[in-house]
Amino acid sequence: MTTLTEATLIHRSSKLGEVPYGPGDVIRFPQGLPGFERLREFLLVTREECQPFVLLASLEDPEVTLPLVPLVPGTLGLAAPAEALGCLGRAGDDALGYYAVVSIGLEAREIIANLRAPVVVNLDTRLGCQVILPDETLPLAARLPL
Amino acid sequence: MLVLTRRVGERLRIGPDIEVVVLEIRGREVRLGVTAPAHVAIHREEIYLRIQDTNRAAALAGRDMASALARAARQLRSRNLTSLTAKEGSPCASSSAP
Repeated sequence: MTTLTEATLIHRSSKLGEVPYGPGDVIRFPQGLPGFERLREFLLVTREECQPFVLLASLEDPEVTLPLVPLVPGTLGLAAPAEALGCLGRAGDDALGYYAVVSIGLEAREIIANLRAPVVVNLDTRLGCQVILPDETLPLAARLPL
Repeated sequence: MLVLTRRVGERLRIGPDIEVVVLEIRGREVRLGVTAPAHVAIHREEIYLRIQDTNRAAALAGRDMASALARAARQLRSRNLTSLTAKEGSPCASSSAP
């Protein structure tokens, strides 16, 4: 549920509690995300205790929150799908953020990261998409023991 | 479902700007070429379905997601790791800037 107040908007979810935000914080995914194709508007929520992880929270379905971890794009051959990033609008090199969707294994003993399909966000245009990279050697479920 | 028969080299048009051409037929495999505008995503179905599954599994984790992330984050920070890299398909981790 999202509530409009005088000062800010509040996103409420069972996983994150109350998250204040402004209209300029909203990131729009014009094509949604695989599995959530009808959801368009998200917030990138940071929590000091969760860093380096960030949380991609749907404004339209408060039950949907994806944990993400920043990626180092130079290692992933991300220059290849430039056409796929066209929907994000123009971006300087520093404007694009790359993130892997992660799951945390039982008792936080491992991180399972999808390196094949990073979430890419243009912080200038506030547009995002999830790109499926052509490199078939990149794992959909890379396991990093903790 | 519309079913059409095509020979090698013949094409299909889907709407005004999507074209599918049969490039090669080899045994049970068919190679297709697809031309479409950049905003039209084209994926092998099995890959797309797996990404749907991984997204749903990640997104619909229980209410303790934030606490599990905080536990994992403490362990990552203790190893001075702030982001992931991938090299030849094997995940490793990069150190944060000093």
